[in-house]
Amino acid sequence: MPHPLILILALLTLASLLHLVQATQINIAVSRIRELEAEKAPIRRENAELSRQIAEWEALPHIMERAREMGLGPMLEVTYLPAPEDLTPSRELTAAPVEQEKLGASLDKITITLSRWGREGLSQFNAWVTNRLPERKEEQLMHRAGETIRQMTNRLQRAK
Amino acid sequence: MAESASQPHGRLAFLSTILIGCVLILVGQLVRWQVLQRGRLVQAEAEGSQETAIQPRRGTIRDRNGHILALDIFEYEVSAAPKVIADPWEVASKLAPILGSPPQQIYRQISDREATYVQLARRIPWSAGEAIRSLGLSGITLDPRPKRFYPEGELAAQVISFVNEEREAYSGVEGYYDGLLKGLHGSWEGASTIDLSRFTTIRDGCDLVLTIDRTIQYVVERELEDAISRWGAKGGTIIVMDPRSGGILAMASHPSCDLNQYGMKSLALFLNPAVSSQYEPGSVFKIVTMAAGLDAGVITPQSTFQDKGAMGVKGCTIQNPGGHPYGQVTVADVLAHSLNVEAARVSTILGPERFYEYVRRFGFGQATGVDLAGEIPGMLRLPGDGEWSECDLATNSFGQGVAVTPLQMITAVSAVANGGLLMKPHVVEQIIDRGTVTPIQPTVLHRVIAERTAHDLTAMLVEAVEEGMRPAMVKGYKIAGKTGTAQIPDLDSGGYLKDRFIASFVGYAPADNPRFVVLVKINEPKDPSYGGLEVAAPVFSSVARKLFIHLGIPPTEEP
Repeated sequence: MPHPLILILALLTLASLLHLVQATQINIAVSRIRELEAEKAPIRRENAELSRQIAEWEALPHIMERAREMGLGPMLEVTYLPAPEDLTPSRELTAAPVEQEKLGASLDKITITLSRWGREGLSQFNAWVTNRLPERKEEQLMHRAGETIRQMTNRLQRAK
Repeated sequence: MAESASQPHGRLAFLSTILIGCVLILVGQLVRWQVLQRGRLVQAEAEGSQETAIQPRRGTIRDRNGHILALDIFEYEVSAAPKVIADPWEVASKLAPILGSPPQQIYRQISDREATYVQLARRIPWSAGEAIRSLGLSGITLDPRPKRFYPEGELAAQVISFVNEEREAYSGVEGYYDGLLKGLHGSWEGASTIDLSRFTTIRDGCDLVLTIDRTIQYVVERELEDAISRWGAKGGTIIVMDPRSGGILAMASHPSCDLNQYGMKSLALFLNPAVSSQYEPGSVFKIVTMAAGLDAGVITPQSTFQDKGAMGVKGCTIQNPGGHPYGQVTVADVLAHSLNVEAARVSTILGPERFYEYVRRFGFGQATGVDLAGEIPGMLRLPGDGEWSECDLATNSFGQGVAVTPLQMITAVSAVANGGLLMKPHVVEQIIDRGTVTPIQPTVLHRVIAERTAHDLTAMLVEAVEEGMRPAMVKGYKIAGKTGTAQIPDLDSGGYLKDRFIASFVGYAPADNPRFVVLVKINEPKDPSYGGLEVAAPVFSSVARKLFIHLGIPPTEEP
């Protein structure tokens, strides 16, 4: 059993060393924080300057000036073209994904109904017989949409 | 020696000696610093305990699409310590082109060996400061100073308002949200202290996203400017509001000025008249009267009146504009031809209690609670107040003898557009605190009128526009609205000013599913023979046409 005095001295020394180590570490940490704050300050200032530049480039007067230089002008009128009713997707086509959800993952690949499969088969057979490719429904619709747009453009030009 | 070390007592004595030595060193150091050299330590601490303030970044303000409307930038204060400068002429000639001052002047300032500190420039741009820093001149100090910068200049000046060089916010969003925007200062006390309680961490201010749409704001400001110059008016206000949320899409008043030039202009220019000034709304107020009459059931959309052009009410005579009698008229006719007599008839049938109950429910006579500094409640005399008379009940029905702010008026009309629900107007959509976004939810204050009433009134306002306010129309769209031509009270001698009036129009569109409400108010157009129909309604139409394009709202009717 060590002498009590030695034990007290040992404990005192240990406590003092602990305090010293802790104080030193805190001091180092504080000094590191200050260093980082000091490093951060110019970066913050530079960041602010970059934000200012972005804001100035994006400001309306600047954008308008650039637009004028590019020969652009304000949009005064918008003409909404009525979409042909045929352009709205058919019930058959839109129903497929909903059906898939209902039936679950196992039926994911079943998207073509029997009747449609039959129609497409007949159409292909017809194409083989007549030796020409069948026009797809979507292509027909797009063709008609193009026609409508052309008609509207002509009407607008005549109106002008 | 080896023999003695192997003995326990010998080892203990050896260890004790080392420990005692360590303790003595520690105690010695303590006595040295705390007793013998205490004075030096205190002095050193005092020298190093200057508080270093760390300025937080004030939050950025953006419009609803993320475009910056206000942000913090940095400028530099340049100072010199003449005692440290070895070659003043060389330093002066290097600084002169950057500071834009003659080198002789700088030389005179920095060659004074008696001076310890000389300020060379109070504020120079960041780029100039960095150019000086790159020169690496000893004895020259650059102190960063934050500054508020408004990249859009005059745009939405009265909504945003400004922050001065002392970092004090004046009014508007900057004033209302100052506590959130400014953040918390950080500071260091002491040069090498280990006392963490003397270190306050910095906290940058929150960023704000407004409901304001920069493009709509720009459109509205240009339209207002054009109208004012066309009519030789003294000023005006236009507000655009989303009736579904109460969000303000644009709020412009004229005159205004560049926020970056606030120091050179009168502070009065930065007060927002849309919330800080009141006016008599005139016939626009008939929307409120008719809403009250319809909702209370004293009139129906099919009601008719026998208009005689004038009516006596408790000692005062109410007349239609021009005094014309219109004979048998419908409610829509009352709105289309702005018949004061029939509006007064509705309010008198309602009686003071019910009429003012509706007026209060629409939000008049109290602040709307908008998140902008400097809002006033307007003025509404009520039965029981000393100055109220039965005549007020009649005149108030067509917007005379009642003072409102433009924001109160548009908020009330928005309630009709929104199916009878009164929304709290607001300009801030989101608050962003260090990446955490807090959206501001639309607030329903209360139901003012039944949905059916709002629907019926809208139909009447559409009819009224088509019948009597055609300059407000936009081809292909249904517009609901009402004009107002209000006299201006003479505050000196009582009564109303002669030949001076306020022309206004409040309307919303598309009437079946309103996406915006616009209030146009033009103060004192030069020619007194024109009213709200000629002055304000065309401005509404022009603004609405651009809003339809900007918001992508397709026409609802065949052109």
